[in-house]
Amino acid sequence: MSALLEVKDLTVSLKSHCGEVQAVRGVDFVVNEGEVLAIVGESGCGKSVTAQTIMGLLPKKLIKRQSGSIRFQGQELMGLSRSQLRKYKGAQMSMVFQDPMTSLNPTMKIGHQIIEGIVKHQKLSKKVAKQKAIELLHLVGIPHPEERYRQYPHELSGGMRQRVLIAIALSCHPKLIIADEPTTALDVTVQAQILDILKDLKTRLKTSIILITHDLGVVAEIAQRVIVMYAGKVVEKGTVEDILEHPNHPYTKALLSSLPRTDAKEKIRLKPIEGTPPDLYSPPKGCPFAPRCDNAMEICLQGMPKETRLSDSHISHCWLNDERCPSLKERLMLLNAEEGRKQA
Amino acid sequence: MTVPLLELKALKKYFAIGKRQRLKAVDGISFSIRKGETFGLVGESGSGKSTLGRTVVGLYEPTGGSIFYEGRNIHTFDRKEKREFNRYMQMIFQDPHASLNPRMTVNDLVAEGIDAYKLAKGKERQERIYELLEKVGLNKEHAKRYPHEFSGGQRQRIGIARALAVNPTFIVADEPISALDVSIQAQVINLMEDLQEKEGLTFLFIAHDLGMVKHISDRIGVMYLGNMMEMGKSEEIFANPLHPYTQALLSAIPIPSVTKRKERERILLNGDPPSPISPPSGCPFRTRCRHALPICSEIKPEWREMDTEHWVACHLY
Amino acid sequence: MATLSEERALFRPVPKHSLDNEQIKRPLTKQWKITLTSILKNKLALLGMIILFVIVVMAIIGPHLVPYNYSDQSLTNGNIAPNSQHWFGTDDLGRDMWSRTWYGARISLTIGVFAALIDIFIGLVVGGVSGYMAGRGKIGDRIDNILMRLVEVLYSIPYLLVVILLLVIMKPGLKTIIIALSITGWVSMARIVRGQILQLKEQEYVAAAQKLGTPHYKIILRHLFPNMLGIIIVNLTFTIPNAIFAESFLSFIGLGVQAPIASWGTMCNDALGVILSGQWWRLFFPGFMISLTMFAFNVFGDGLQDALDPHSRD
Repeated sequence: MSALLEVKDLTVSLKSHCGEVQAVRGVDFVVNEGEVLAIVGESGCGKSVTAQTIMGLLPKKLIKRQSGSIRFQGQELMGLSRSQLRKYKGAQMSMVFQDPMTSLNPTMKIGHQIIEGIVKHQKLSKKVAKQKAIELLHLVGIPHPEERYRQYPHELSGGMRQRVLIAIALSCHPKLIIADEPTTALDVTVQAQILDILKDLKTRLKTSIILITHDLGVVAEIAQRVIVMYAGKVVEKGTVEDILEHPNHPYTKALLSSLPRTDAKEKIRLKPIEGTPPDLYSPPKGCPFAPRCDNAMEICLQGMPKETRLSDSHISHCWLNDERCPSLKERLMLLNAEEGRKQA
Repeated sequence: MTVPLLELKALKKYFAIGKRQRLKAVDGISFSIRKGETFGLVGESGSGKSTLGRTVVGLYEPTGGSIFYEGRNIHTFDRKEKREFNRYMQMIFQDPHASLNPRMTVNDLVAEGIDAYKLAKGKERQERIYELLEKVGLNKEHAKRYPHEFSGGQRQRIGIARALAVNPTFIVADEPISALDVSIQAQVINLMEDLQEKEGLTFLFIAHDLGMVKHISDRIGVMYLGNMMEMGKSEEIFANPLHPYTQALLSAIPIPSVTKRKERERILLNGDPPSPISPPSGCPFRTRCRHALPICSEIKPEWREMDTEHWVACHLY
Repeated sequence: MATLSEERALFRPVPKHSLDNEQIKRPLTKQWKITLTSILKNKLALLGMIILFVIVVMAIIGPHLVPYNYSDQSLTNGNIAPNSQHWFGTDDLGRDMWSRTWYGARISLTIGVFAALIDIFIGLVVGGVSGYMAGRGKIGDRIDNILMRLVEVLYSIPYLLVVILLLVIMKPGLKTIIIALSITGWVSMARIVRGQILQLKEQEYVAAAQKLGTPHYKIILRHLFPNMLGIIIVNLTFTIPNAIFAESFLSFIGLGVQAPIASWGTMCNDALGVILSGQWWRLFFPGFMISLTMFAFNVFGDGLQDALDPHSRD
């Protein structure tokens, strides 16, 4: 499996009315052919901005600075003009957005919206395009596709609309689909249906998917590899087993333990992560998670942790992995000494 | 047996759509909530759970049926009692961006109820505001700021402080954590649990996230298209779901574990929920139910108690 | 290479409570500052703002810059073209055009602003009550309906007819013309206000206020109106030039302010008789001022609208 998409050291900062906001700070990852990569993180971590930068969808006037490399099938995308990017956007990469309500044009029939892309990129006649559109609607599991073809978005339910968005994304046989929180706005039973469709697409059409989500359950359901983002940086990455069963970074661990488990036997108090993520208007110079981390050390406040390779697939960025870091027991002792000293 | 804090009898709320059609958002719901408990109400979009919450709290007038507070029909309240009742029943809203007036400072937002009900004045009033902010994990510094300067989780906490300011007995929480980040959701849930213990509050917790509902609720009710399908103790519903809809709902919850996921049976519902303007005849779930029988399209199933405190409306039983 | 003790110091744990994790780092930015910065960036809007500022200043001090009064007549000096003594020339009665133009500015601006303010006030009350009452049971709907029918009726009558009628009944004059303009102009504002209220009413913070016991009038004043401030201000910047133009037009056809009070409109009217005899300054200055003022208000209003739009903030 060769790398379909390679992102190296992506850095993006945006303009806001109070200054520069460093939304993405040096992100690296790789997406292979026929796999689902999940980007997990909460609001403000930079996952959406990363996706939009790859797709070239960020409005130019919002971008203050942009650097790094985005290679798609070996071709460097960073620095390309809008018209050159457009060649890749429709034909090879496409995006499915979060809110099906606002992503579809309410005044155009569904069918029309699907064939728009087909007609433009593949230069087919309307008749052939319509045929393809109906096939696509069938592919995403919409019953009576010929009827639905002629309907308007408001005549469809949320789940249907999301499926139409997926159909539109598929219309030009892309190699990569970026889905930004595609199921967050949907009911749980509909979400299950949509995830099934995405899984099916991956197996049948060998489409790679970058799935952006904050829901670790969804990740377990569909992803092969995962990257965890916090405050504009990648803090951990690995296979889905690595991340969910053997999490290393304190943020990943804290995220997992803050979730209620429907399979838990007794009622245990939830363990939230106290505090709020740092404002990227003035990001801290050390590890961004330090103020909320149970294991914070002096060094965590002073600089970003280096990359630690835990296995072939598993990488984490945490000072706890440094060889010089004292053991848990030692740390506890030091911490108690520290507390004692403060109280004296 | 003590009188339940709140009791609903055949509660209905219909909305008129145009001249001829009616949207039956809540179509005959009966259950009661005891003092100090948390009742979780789950359902998907179109189930009517939000409408039920708003009707219970007094934002909507019921179209039919009645609501009893501490045993008395609220319809019989005089003006003074109605106003007191309005104060006792408070609400926490879903959207942290839309539930706080962007033009008001946090101080003013929290003080609104105190001022309207004349609960404190002058220095005492300001101290009370600070006390409330601290109760929800914020501090005095935050009082002068505006909502847009806070994160979603913090805004939700401001909303909770605002609701607590008038000393309510009953709080309807309408999807209070759906719009929040996962790690923050736990903060708000823990806060709610702590406050419930300290202040002796009763909650109606409306959500579509079953994981959280199971965690925080003592009893759960499952709604579908304006009707209650199943109701019972939290663990009971999860361990032994009787209604096919409940079973499908539970099987659809994504579990954040690769190993546990493989052990579960998946029930996929086909199709979409029908519209509440023209619900199916008989049992509203029959169009998507894999066990549908002929009787299901003719008669609406009876609401029956199957086990201690475990109620179902389904022809299978 | 760090020594062992230095290393140990680096890896010393930091107790969590010493780290502030609820801090708000961004500086406290006030709403008006954000609006101002946005406008300053919009060059056209900035231009409009500057022009308006200059016009207002000149309206106040303009006539004092020359030794002539707006009404001093000097029949021997009639119809002189602009020169170093009379910067804008004189009219046929020898009155200094510069003085008259800036004096006219006062009149036109006063009429425009007052008429617009009254419009907005009436519009707020009618639109506010109508919008708030809609959907509150049968009585509420009835009030809404009655008010809206009234609005529609008034809207469909050509305002000019109403104004002319009023001016015929009452004596023409400054007060009269303000009243006449206000009586018809509030209608569009009422509609806008009603629409806004219908929308804002559904906001969750309004529902919260109801639960918290806030009386109706306070909900309207505290929750609804402040969030409409943007729309109201923007509307003001369009209503004022419309009122100025309306007054000019009425004065032009002779129904406006009476001599010796002069507005730009009356000055244009006076200038009509002499256009063909080449005395361009008679018509040019008042006419140009009307256009310039309207232009300035309009671009400023556009810029203000963009600046106040909350969607452009993030």
